[in-house]
Amino acid sequence: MFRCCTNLFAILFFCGVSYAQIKTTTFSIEAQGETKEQLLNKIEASTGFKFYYLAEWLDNTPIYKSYGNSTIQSILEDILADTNLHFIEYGNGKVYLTQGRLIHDYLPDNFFPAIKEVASEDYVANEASSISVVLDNQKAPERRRRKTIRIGKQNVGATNSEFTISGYVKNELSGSPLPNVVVSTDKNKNTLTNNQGYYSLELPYGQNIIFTDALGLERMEQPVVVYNDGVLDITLKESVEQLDEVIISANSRQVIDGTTTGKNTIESEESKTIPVVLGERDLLKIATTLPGITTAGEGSAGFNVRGGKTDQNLILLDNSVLYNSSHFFGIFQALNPYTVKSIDIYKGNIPAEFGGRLSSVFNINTIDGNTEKISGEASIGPVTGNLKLEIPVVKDKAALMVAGRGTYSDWILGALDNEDLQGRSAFFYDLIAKYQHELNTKNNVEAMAYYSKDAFSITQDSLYAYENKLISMQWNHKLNEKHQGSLKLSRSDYFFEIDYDGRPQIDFNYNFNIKETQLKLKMRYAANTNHSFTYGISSKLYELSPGTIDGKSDLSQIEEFSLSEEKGLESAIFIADNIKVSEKLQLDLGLRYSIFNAIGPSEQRIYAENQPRNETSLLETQSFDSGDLFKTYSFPEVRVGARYYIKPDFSAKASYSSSTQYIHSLSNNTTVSPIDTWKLSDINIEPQRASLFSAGLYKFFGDNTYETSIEGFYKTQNNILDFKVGAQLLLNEVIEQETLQGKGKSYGVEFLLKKNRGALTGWLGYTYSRSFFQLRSDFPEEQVSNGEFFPANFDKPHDISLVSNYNITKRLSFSTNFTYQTGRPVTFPTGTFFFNGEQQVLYSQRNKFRIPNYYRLDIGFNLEGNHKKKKLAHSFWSFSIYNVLGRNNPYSVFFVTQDGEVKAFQSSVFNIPVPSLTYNLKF
Amino acid sequence: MFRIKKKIFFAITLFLIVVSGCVEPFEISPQTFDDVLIVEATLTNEEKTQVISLSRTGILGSTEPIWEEGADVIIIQDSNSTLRFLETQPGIYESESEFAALPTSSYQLSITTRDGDSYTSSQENLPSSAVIDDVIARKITNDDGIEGIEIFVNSFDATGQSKFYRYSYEETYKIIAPLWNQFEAFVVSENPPSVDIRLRPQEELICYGNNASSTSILFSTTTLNEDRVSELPIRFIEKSDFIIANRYSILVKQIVQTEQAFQFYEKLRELSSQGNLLSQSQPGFLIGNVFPDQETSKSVTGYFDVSSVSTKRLFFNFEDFFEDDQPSYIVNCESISIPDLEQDQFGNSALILAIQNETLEYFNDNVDLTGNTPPGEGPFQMVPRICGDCTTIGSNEIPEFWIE
Repeated sequence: MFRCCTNLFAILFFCGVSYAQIKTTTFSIEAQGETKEQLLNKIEASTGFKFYYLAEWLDNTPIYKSYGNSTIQSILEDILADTNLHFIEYGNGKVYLTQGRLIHDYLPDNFFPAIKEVASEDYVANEASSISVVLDNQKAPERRRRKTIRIGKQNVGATNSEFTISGYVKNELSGSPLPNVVVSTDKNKNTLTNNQGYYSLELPYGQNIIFTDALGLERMEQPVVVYNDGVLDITLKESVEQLDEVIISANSRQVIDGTTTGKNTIESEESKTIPVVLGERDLLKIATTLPGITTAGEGSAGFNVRGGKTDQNLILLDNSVLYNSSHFFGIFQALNPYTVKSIDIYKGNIPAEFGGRLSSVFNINTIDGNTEKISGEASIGPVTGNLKLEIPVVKDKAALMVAGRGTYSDWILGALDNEDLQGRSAFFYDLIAKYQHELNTKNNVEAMAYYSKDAFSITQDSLYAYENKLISMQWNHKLNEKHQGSLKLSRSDYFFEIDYDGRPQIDFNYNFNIKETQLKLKMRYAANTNHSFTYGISSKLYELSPGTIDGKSDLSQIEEFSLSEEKGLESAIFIADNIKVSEKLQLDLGLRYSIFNAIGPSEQRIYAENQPRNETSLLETQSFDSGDLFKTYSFPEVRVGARYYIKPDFSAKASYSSSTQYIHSLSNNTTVSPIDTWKLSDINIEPQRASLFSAGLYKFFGDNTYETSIEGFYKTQNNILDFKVGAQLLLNEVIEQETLQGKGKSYGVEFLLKKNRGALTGWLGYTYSRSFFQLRSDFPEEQVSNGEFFPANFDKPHDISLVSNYNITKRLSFSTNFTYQTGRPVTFPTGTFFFNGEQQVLYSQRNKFRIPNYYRLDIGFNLEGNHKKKKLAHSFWSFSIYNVLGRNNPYSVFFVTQDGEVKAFQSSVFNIPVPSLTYNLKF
Repeated sequence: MFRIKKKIFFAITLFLIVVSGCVEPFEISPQTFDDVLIVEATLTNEEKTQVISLSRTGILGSTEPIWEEGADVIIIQDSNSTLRFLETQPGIYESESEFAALPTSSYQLSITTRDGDSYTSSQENLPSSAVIDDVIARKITNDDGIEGIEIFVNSFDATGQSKFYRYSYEETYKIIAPLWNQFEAFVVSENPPSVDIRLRPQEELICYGNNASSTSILFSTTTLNEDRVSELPIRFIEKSDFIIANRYSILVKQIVQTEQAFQFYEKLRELSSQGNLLSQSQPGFLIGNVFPDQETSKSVTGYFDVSSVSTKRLFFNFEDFFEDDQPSYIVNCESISIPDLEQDQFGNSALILAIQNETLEYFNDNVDLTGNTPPGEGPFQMVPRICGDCTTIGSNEIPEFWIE
């Protein structure tokens, strides 16, 4: 549509000055009756500037004028003075002419105002603030003008000068609401749609034109005649071919604009092209390719974020805590990839509304169902099958999304010709349903239910199972244009059990259960252009059944035994103010005050002070009745951040965050184990606390094609829970005699380079970080490594991730994923001795040695079906090879004394290339 | 409960083998070495010479203990009286006089090594005692499908105080030399070579073999509904094992430990045998109840355990359980040789050498039907010594406790 008036010679000739600015380059030209177009051609020919415009914009009036040694800018201003054309220089001497609309060469501060900081949250645009619209004209689709619509009945006596027009912006195809669409008018009114796609504008009486602008969507122009308040719903088409890129670039802007350090967002779309293991897309695994987030290795559940332990992450699925976020011990994620819209990961300054875990928040949002028509997705992979359906319930108002995923992995076991595996099975499945209903413009409700189950009986005599049950409900209510809130009720229930069928005398069932129920009220108040408040209150009730064992038959000698139930109430009030101090400086001041009440009934053992905790130092056992608040802890938690624009595409940020955690996982393993239990703080086990300082620099370059950031952090932790050597945690009534609480410190620098556009996209992340713990005491039996700092189990100084995707054609893409990590620390034997008639192993101080470095390369191909518009279903194939180098990455190292000799073994999970082929179908 | 956890890990282990099939041994390169004093001391309520052993850690791969010699070892009773220990063998310290730990006293171990480092244990008291009710032998087929005799122990503490049990055993079995003869060969003269037979001066037909358990079995009743040890397997003997060919006896020793001592033994075992793929439990330096007195002293680990002991003995014969033939002897005794008496080219007589070196035993005269030694052959049929003389593998003294 644009004619590119390029003169090759001129470019070559002037390439030396191709960075010249229109403001600085001077030029002399004599116009002797040339048209505007001819003049522009002349300038192009002589200066190397290129002009982009539509020829029909320029009239053929002859120009007679002499420009002596003027800047290009002043010449253009003069030539175009009698037109409605604006111009802008963008890039190397490229000058774009635009009709009617002024183009800015930078994104205004509030172009994506705080949207992503509250991603998934109900967002109201500060309608008072002016939102300028900037679009890259090379990419933006043509604006589609629609027929004029009359709004409201004409009221002759109307005295209002302005009327409220509101409505929903939706995807024409899927009917799903479109958030963050800029809705503007020719009268310079602007707003953004919120998460439900809702917008509201005050329009003057009479003729107005409403524009919509959003990256990745068609641009629409809707003339309206406003007579009164009224409703205008808008449907928009996607500009499909740009969707993937747009998602990333829309997100990436937050990196610069937000006041939050250490925040990443993973969109479901992004994960499509990343090579996977056994055909399963895994958003959480993608998280581990980001700087600062690691796992202990393949097949290990749990994340270590910036030197934090695996129990310090708050993993929320639509506000409900997901206690076990993996299937098959971490080989698969527990999230159905079709149902996840995005994951926001906060590893730096955690917003004040979240709390209760020290290191990070993984806020996972599920998709909203399609309210227009039935649609769905399905896939068939080597291990799992997956189906998602979206069903409209009330057209344009309500929809139900249901999805299920399950394994048919039994055949894998069957296929392996191994006698040991006969009669054994292993499976998992997860189900999710979500209903969202928009009651009216002020109210909408959502409800989500999730269930996941893992079970296997690998040995003939044991069955092991765990399940997550989550329910969440949310009511979003808008008090007025500036003030809105949401009330969220969520419940999470995690359960695991072991059924052992050996000899009848020792058959048993052992199980653990934790339930938590939370009610949270969160309000957002956009006071004015400079202040936007978030405040609220939340309260969460924990109910733990920390362990029960019972014999299974009458013959059993196993006594029914239960650790007594634990209860606790964790409450918090929070307030945060996002302050725009100046165009360049933005502050986010947040404060959270959390209170934990340990609730009876409970038996609490009191130990003599200044003595090691054991049976000898036990002074008394205090009994508390049901409902007694026998111990209360409370802490203020500060969450502050600041962002400063050094340049429009270059910002600096710093933040400080402190947090408290009242629930602890009891794990004496070097990695997360599915039978780890949880424990609430009580008289003997104090809450864990952490402080994190982080600061970084964030820059875009190359027309926002590249995004780069460098962020450093320093974190200290207190009362980190650890255990004595050989601690017995299972069904231990006096667990406090086995626990140690100590300090942690970690620091690091994280570097990320991301390419967001073009045929090649992806990112390179590098992290240098260290993480240490210290368990110091006056008593040798309560010390580890002589009370010195020792490296954490997950201390991996160097961590490199390279994720890339190359679009070979529109349908075929090739992707790679490379990871390198320093081997994690382990405790090695250093000697042997004889005791109790056996040779025993003497171990080094904790984590003195490291296992070999870890590296892995995965590759994948994605082949999309054809892009015919009128097609029943859209399909794509993905083929991937996990660990294509076949690197035998040791996952764990262990030592066995056999025949009087200490033998060392290393195990690895996937030591050979694992290919998989998955067929995906979208309809 | 460790047992439960092990099962779980076993399950996980198998699962991951399915997924990956990869566990491989690797060489541990010599790492830094920590020189640590190891204390193993069990004071019991038996009236006897009490024994304490001291050793040091060795480098990985060493197979013999490195004994700690020349240390001063005492036990302080009730913070006032001292019980001295003397080194009788390298690293083995025995009490000067016989004594039994008393339930009313407290005991503390104090050690000063040759280097001058001193160590003291925490104060320990004798736990309650529980008497073994029964030791039972029963014919079973074990999990590997092997038939044999399993020895079980039963115990019950009505007071519910004992709870933490450690078991060891000592077994004694009758040995009958299969090719025994009442006569033995002796050398009359080397040159000219001449031999004869005479009555054996000592018992060499029936002996008594002896084995002690190399390690002990740990069992806790804390998860059971009473403090009862019910048919806990102590020892399995395969049906074909020659030790039960005749009469067999086992003495089971039940040691009631304190909870802390039990946990130390259990943790030690866990650390030495830990092995699972998915979740390695955190290993480390295990601290017992003996501590250095000075900060500069070398590290120490081990346990000063004061325990109450109960023993019970069981006898049985092979025929009590099996009707088939007895298990064969420890070695194959089918080969009978006839060494030459005549000197060979080097002047050696094979028969005389065998008698002098006690490698072969007299079995019979080498005579043909006429009663004469066939020409060119030696005079005696000889058998390997172990087949004709049981003292090679046992003691010919009837143990005091032995009951036929």
